Amino acid sequence: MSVSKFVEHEKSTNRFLRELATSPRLGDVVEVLATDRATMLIVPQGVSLEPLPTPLPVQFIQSHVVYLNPANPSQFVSLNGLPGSLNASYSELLTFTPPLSDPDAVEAFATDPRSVFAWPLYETPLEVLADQTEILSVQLLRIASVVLAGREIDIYITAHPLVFDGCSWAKHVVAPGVVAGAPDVRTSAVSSPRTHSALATSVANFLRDFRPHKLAAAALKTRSTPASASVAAASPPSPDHDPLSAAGTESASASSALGSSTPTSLDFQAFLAQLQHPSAFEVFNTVKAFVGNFRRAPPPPRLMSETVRSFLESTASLMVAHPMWSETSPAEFANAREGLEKYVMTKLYAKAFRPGGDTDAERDAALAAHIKALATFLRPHHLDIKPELCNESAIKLAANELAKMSHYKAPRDKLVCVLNCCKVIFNILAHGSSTPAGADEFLPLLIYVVLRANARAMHSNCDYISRFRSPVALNGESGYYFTNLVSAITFLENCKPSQLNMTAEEFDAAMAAAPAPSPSSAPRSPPRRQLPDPLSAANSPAPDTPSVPLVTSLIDMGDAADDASAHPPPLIPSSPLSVPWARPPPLDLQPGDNPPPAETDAHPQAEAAPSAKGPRLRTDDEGNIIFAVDSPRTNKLFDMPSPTAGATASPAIAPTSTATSPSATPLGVTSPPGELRAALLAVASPDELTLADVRSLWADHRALAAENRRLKAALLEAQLRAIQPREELAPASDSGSASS
Amino acid sequence: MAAAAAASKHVDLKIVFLGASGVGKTSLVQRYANDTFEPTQSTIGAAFTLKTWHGRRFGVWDTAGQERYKSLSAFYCRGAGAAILVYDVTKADSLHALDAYMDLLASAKDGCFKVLVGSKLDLAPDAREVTLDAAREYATSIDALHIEASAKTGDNVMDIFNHIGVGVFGFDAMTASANGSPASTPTPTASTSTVRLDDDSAAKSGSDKKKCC
Repeated sequence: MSVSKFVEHEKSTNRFLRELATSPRLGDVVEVLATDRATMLIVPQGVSLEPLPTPLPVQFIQSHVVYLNPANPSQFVSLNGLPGSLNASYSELLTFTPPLSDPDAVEAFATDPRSVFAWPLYETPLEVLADQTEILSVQLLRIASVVLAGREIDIYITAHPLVFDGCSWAKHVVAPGVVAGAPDVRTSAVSSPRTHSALATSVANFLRDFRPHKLAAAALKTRSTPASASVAAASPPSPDHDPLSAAGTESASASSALGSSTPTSLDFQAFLAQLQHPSAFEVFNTVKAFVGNFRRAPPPPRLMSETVRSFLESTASLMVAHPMWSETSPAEFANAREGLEKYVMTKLYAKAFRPGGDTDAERDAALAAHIKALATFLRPHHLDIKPELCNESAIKLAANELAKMSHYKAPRDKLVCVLNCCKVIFNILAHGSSTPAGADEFLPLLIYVVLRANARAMHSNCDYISRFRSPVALNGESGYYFTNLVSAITFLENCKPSQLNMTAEEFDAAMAAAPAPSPSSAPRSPPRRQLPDPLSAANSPAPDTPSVPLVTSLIDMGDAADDASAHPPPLIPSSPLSVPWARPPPLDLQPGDNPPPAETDAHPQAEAAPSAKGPRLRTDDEGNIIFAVDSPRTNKLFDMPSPTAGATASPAIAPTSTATSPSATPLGVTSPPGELRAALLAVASPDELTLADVRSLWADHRALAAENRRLKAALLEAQLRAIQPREELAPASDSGSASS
Repeated sequence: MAAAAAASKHVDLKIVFLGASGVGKTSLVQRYANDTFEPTQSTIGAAFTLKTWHGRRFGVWDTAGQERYKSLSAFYCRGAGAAILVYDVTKADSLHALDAYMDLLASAKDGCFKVLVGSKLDLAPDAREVTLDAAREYATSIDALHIEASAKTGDNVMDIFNHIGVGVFGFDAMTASANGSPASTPTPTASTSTVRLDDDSAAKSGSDKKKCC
């Protein structure tokens, strides 16, 4: 059976997937998966599930749905607290048992599952860990993705179910496969099998399947992976990032401290609790109706911002007068306004992001191609950045933060990514000069970071923020840094040779050279210098640009890049830059390509990298594992109604959910593990600096899922009380709750 | 936490700093940010400063002064209620270099309050190249207030912002403090939860009549 056939077979027949897709009792699990972007499914292959009872035990389900570590996507913890990680070569899933012993940890896990990633457990090298705990492993067969509840969800297909001490299905796991993760484990696993009777068969299998050479290699490598980043930072830095790692680490921790004081913290859960309260039914209904109308018949792009803003304003007035909020403190009410914005925009995202469709996507692609060309030759000195500020590893950190923008839907969350990026830059500046840095030093470095990040959908993200982020926020600090970002993009898009300390000849030559080495296609005509230059226009005595509103002017300037071919130069200096930390390894994203961002679900073709079509095989740099790339067009099995479309979804809504699947292009593409790991190695745990922020955001996402369910219950109740029936707003498993 | 969010977002007046690189914009901002008992509330970096002036919140935007970035300043000027145009009293050409910014200010608010600031006043006794008269004349021509100041000594730095505050919000906004030294008048507003309503009630001593919304 070929690789893709295997995956397709699993997708169409796997019991676990089918139960998730159809069983009402699993609605909340599906909802977690659908709303929380950083979750994954571990899907034991079909044959291994045969001995298991039907339906699958709830604990089994919980053990196989995992949250990913935002700082290191190879680490995870399951819904019921089973911690685990990929091994260094991505060939096995390792789980650490016993899962949760410390009562504090259990408590923390219940509150915020991702808090467990701060445990020492996750920072301990595997071979050390093996002495302290039991490590079980299960072979990872494929990384793929399925569409569940309208969202593309990444899955690990494993040879066998995960097991742990006391789980009810361990006795059914008869086939070979449960092995230990590191050589040292052998001792501990063997010495304690009797105390873990449920695992007795597993241990036997472990002995049979033990492959020392491979495991030893894995254990060795583990030392230098970010899984042990803090350990690595304390020990002599590896040659990879030798001169810079110290500063990088320092700035990371400094930012971490800053991160906790971010002005943008939001208690989304608190807001949802208010919104879902039965007494707030009218407010909720208003929101629901607006969202429904907007999705059915989106206003023209130019009116979207206005429409949304006036709705948010009027709803805020409604809330002020509502007993639920009338007594709250101004701060709490401000929180509610933020929550409302986030809630509404998350719901409207599919329609409100890139409202121009393909045109927007092309604009983004053109910008990315242009930046990519520039990145082949632009160096810090072209921007007069002082050499002492050229801390490449820290610049990568900043670039990574920026690239995360695409992983969030709420304008506020996207903006937080920008702020985090800027924090890192100020840390670099603080290290590089004695006097406090101002805009003179900041902007050039930001430009350089934008260049190096070449993040996806920059235009669209910026447009989206400026359209939908509250004007009050955009007038303050976050607005300042957002303006810097827009300026940086504008500069890169329009920069003239003289602005880069180059002659026109040098610039032309460099731009012409940039895309040339592309093997698969003829070099494209790169330069676009003949195009209108808004910058020079602004410099001239009668500038039009300055008075043009931000968004409009960006759009206008965007045209300038149209002839930049979508064919990217292969020369982008280092792949780590666009590795998405907040998402798991099996991402649909290759560094350097211009893949369809998650938010382009509605128009995925536009940015499809030509090379990313169809099934492909990949090996990592050890060559010891093959990753399947599913053909995304075929066999999207679990095309459930989108969580937002609802059971009573009108036909007009339907495209939202279908667009993500049948028409989707290379969504199932997995990331090349070698490059990913290179990125992991090159950047010491980049997310340390914003872990607090990221965690709180994820807490928000998770809360959303849970609250949605309660909301629905409240709604149903209210509807039963003879209120005119209306469509559901957010039913991931409508059929389930409606029929129950 | 939500309190902090609310507090940091609302800005009553956006002030943009313009001027070539090297004239001392950033030093002035820094001086203003740090030369008071009330800590600045910027969380990211020094390029943006948030200060409370008699219950009003000033957001101070620094801009990159290098020639190549000048045109980008238009983005920063958008919606600004006040602009501080900085020249160097020891460099003759730095004054008229400000001409280029006047066009960019088109995107600022109507009636944007302009202050022309001669920096490095501490060097003036030995190295002055821009006379007071020339600067005043220029200020008149661009409809701006004129002040000379020194970030090094702190002379007149606070006055810049007092003038702006008075110019934008009126004298009433200041009467809360008799001596006019903002440094000694911490805002009565609870620094944690500043929202419009709070602001007005907090500034009540000065300007109840300030219409809001």
